[in-house]
Amino acid sequence: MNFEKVVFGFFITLALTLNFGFFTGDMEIVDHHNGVELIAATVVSLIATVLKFGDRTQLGAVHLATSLVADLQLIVACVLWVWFGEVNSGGLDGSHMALIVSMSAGALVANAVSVVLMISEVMQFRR
Amino acid sequence: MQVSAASGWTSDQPGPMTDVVFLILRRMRTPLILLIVTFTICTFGLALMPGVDLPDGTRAERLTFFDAFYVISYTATTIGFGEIPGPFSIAQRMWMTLSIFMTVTGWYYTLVTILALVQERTFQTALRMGRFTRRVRSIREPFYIVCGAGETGTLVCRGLDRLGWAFVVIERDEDRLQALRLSDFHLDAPMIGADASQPAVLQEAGLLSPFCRGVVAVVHDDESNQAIAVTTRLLAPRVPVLARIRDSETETHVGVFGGDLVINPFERFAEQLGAAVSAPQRYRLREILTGLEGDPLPEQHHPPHGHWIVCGYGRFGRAVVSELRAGGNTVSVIDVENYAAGGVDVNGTGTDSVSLGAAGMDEAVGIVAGNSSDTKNLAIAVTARDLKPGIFIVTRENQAANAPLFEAFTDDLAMVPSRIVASEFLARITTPLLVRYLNRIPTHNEDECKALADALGTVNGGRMPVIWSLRVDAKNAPGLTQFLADGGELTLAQLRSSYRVDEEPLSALVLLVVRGRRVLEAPSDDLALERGDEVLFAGDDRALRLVQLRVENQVALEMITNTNSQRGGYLWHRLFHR
Repeated sequence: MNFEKVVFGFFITLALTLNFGFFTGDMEIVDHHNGVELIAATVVSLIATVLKFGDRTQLGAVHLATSLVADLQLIVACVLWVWFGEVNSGGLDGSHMALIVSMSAGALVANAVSVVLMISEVMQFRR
Repeated sequence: MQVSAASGWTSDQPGPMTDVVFLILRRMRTPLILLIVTFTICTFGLALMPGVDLPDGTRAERLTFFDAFYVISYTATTIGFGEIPGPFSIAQRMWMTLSIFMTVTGWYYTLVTILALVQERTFQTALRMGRFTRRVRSIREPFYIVCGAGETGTLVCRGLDRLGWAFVVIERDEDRLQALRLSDFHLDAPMIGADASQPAVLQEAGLLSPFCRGVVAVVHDDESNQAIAVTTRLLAPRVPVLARIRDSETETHVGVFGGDLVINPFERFAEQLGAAVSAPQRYRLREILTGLEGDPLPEQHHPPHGHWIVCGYGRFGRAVVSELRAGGNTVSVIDVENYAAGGVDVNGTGTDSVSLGAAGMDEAVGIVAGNSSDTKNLAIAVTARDLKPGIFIVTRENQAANAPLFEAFTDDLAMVPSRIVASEFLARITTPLLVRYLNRIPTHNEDECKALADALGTVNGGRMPVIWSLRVDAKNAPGLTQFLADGGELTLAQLRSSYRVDEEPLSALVLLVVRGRRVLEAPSDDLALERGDEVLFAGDDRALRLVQLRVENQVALEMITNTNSQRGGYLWHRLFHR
């Protein structure tokens, strides 16, 4: 067992699960979505990106690309959260939340692709 | 894997520049993750700490996540704006203290890692390689790859630079490379410290570039030169190789690849020495033709016929002895190391009167000091001159650095192997036609050679002549081609004439005209040029410029042939001759 592989798999999967955790629930209901979970998802996604640095293979390049997409979407979601929650006088409402959650939904797809890539890599290796 | 000349050059395989990026990314993994983790912990912690107690007994709100991130960001980077948005509670301050130590440490760790990486050898090599490749790829003019920057390589580089050719240098030894970098070339040539016998290095140096005109292989050892020749032949079949091979057996191996110039300096040296002794005028003619333009003319030597003494019977000595004997001289050989191998007459060094006397110093007319040690050769030469002041002395000069010593001694003939190889390569590079001419020299007798050498010596005002070749086709001589297609006739005399009748004709000699399979040597003045001819000229700079102008510009051509029915340029023609 390779410890590096464990760490890699752990962070990639955690990025997906946290992202999914934030995403689940009614899109327009603010209470269904937790800000801390969003931050956690963003941070884990960033770590996953860094872990993918320095792999020169084709697969490594795609891995890195999906992670960058997830990062971008999650960071935008975070910025929107701060903007609507703290800059706007009215605070977060349903329509704002829908936008933030849809952003995280996009990141969710990218994270899912990442996990699929990882699993397919392992399958190929077995065969 | 199939590497074709075209696709290989513009291939999308990762270059050395991506090496640098990946090297940085890979190294930065740990520090970056450390940074992200510390930031996250500190931000979360700060957001969780209770706020300050207000005067009305309530407690202020905790910091929001965004505020916490903001505070940590400016603290971690040691900017430190203070307590924003308001004064912190004790709990928040305690957490901030912890945060400062964590984040600042992480931040500095990252910086130190970057600095360490920049100083690392592998990183610098990758960086240098990347810069080298980028510069090679940006060359948009014909260039040569010079492998090896020893004495010969340096001479070749100097010659190329002087003739205005671009070149790329590969040399394994960093010190030599540094010396070459410091020498003042007109062009800033890309140089790399790498092993040229590796195919990847040659590719980085632009072997597959459409602008590569040839590879000069003058690395120290024969095997590397051979490897370079093989690599070039296989990867870029159209690129000629000019290789120096010291061992004659290897030479035949490389010769198999055909079309290339392989020079064995020892044999070439001996051949030329033989020529210098048996046919000094032919030797001088060759020297003038292969010399660098603008250099002073070589002195005339008159080596005598008779009994010669050769000191040193290595590869060089053997070749010299056979050349001398072929020229009808008698030879005595002095050597210590090769005495047991046979063929040596006297066992000695040649630096003492005893061994020289045993070799027949009394009746000797000339002596060749041909050891691989310069000091030994000088010692032999000094002893010989002491014993017999009038003797003709030929010294082999191995290291260009010792040139002042040889000059101080003023021997009759000093030959430098590196210079022989370099001048031969340069002649081949600048004018391929010249090689054909040089091959014809042995068919001339001494008087013809003397006449030719004297004529060549005067065309460039007492200096080495400028040698150039011209191909009469639409690309190289558009004006002349059009002129001939229109039914015009241009003789060599007209081409060489000056614009005004009272002036001397241009200072240029036509050495050779190649027409299809026929080779016309020293053609007569009334020979009319035809399309497809290749002409070899020797002259001065002005003649080169004017001839070039005339064959390119039809108007200039019509001026010298007096057929100027229409004058003017393109616009003039469009306006008035429709």
